[in-house]
Amino acid sequence: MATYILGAVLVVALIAAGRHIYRNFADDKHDCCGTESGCTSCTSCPHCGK
Amino acid sequence: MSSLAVALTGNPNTGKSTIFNELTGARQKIGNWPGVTVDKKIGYLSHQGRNISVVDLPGTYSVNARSPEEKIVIDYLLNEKPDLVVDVLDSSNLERNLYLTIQLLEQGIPLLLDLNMQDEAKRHGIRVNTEKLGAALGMPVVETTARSRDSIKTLLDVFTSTVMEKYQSSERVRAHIAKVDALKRSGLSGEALEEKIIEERYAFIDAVVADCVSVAGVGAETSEKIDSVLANGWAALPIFLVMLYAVFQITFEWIGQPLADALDEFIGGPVTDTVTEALESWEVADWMQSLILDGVIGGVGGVLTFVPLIFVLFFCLSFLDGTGYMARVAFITDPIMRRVGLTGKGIMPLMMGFGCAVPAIMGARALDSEKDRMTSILVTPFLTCGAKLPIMALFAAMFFPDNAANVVFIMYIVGVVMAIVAAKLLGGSVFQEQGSTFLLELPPYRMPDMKTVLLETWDKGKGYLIKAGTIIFAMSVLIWFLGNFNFNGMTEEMNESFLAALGTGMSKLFVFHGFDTWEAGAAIITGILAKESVVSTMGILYGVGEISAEAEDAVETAATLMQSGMATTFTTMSAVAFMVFSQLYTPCVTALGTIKKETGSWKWMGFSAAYMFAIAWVVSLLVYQGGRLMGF
Amino acid sequence: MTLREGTSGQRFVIRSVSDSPLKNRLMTMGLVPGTAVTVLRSAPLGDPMALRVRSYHLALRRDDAASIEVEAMA
Repeated sequence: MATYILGAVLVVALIAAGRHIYRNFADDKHDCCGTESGCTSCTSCPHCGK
Repeated sequence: MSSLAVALTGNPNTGKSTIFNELTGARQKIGNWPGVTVDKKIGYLSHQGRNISVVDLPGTYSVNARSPEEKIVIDYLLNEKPDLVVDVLDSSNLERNLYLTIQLLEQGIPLLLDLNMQDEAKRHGIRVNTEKLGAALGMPVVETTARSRDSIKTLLDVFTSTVMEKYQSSERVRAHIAKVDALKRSGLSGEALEEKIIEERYAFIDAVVADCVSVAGVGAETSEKIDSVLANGWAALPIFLVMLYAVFQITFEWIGQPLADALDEFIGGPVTDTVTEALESWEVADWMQSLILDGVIGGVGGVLTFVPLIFVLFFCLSFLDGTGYMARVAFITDPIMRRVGLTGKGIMPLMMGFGCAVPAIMGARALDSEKDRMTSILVTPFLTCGAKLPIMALFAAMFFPDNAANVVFIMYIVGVVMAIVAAKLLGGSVFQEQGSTFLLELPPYRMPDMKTVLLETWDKGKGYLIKAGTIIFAMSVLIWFLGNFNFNGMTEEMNESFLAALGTGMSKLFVFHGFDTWEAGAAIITGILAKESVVSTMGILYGVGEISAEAEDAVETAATLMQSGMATTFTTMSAVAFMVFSQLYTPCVTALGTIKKETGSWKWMGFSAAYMFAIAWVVSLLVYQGGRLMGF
Repeated sequence: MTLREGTSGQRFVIRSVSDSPLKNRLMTMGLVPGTAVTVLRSAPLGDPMALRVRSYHLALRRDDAASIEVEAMA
């Protein structure tokens, strides 16, 4: 019984993970560094501010 | 409750982001500007019964709509018409900062001028007469010191009390606009017209500054003194290397690694034990126990262990970025970078590559010439990104327990050297010689705002956690399945599994590299999907995570690790060869996708995947065979 | 002379900026005729150079500085 419950939990988690991966792919987003943009964090960096 | 839409604009290095972070704290949403991959940061707060939304527009020197950032700023201000536009100015550098201000005023956008960095201006003996400045431009002026709570409070009071409709451009600004209009009608066009207008704007600014700003004679600026050491001639380069080395020591020796070890022990010990007991007491089927313990905990847990390392490294890089030192790094490395066909400015996207190749590839956009950009995009993935870090850390800890930090440092250097060599080769052959330029502000040194550094660290590190919970989780289950099943169903012998078959195929390529086992082959295949998978695959196949966790200290860890299957299939030399190969081979699919998008060509993406694999194969072979010749 | 030949500590006034791909950006950054420029220091091998312009610091390659015609200040 517990096996089936765990199996169901895993399947749900896998579907959620798959959805996230698919959404990233569809929206052209990346998880690296939190967001999708190149210059997220370097507002202090003159290079990105141009 | 009435709401209020505020937009922050201003030059880079004015403390604009610090103000944004201090205003909104963690109540931020990071999205995307439509059509371009530039971050759109919105924060929410309420003050005196009003809901305030604050947009942090990209920092720009002007709004000529030449770069995506400049276009975003002007489009947003003209089309979205926020209730309040705050122009954040560095008080000690008003002349250049006012350029953006006057450009916006020409567009008829009312501005709240925020004279920020009051503390620095005072130190430099700069006094701005705010009343005169307000009168000269016709706009309200407020003074702040970004990090002080009082300033933020003042700013919020001003936000809720200022009615922008009451303000109109001054006579002086209108006279300036009339002059600009006259120039536009004068028959000049294109560049020549634009240059005349730029001169006109600076003439206006010079006159205003002469009226409103007084400078008391002060000695050499602090930044000036620091630069005479950190950015002066040859001595600057060894200092830079020492700083980098310090970052590595902090990450891999002093702070990051001890935390990672503790987490590793926790996951391998209490967590695994509790889960094992629970699974047994619930009488869960054996295969499900294996899936959860070997697959999910072995795979995801193996990757999670490295989270402290990633966060500490990102913290160090964000901190350095916040001090203003990175611009100096670009300055002092430009002579070297230029000789290998890059530019000093390229050092900044490259440094981002130590976090993740994806933003680094995108960051190359800011480089001035097409050649610099393409070269940078193609060589960045050689660097050791956060996802490759676990591979290096794991192998170094196993095979060089006494010198782990130094070995990891050498691997980082291997990546950097390879990037430089590849840049030289690409620059000399694939790309035609093109002019490249270098123009960069050297901002004043500042103590970074801790809130900003921590938010940045979290922003960047978060992605790693999300990946562990999604793609690495899914991959781990997949790898477990492939490793435990074949066409006849579940198999006891991993050697007969699907994964063994796949890995064996791949391993044929590495007969002369010393790691032609199917496990290594499988890790290399999964690593293309996400580099963390190399470690999670190893974790699942060898059960490395569980074994290492039983040990009490580094020596014992090494001893137990050496008993695992992993230690017996790798020799010290083949481990080094495998590290070198992992360091250099084909970027992960996400990075490849970014290359495709940024270069706009499948050809360059394919080229990148193929040439990196080839280079990794050759260099790793040379290392292994060379090492053996030398008797290792 | 052009800014290219500037050495550390020298002060100049910009006479003109000649046509180059950087011209517009240089001017936007405040390097317009009449502006005072101080050469602060050089990177290893003498290039690029760091300047003080309008109370901020700017790094520029000497090849790019060649497009800036300057006159020495006393």
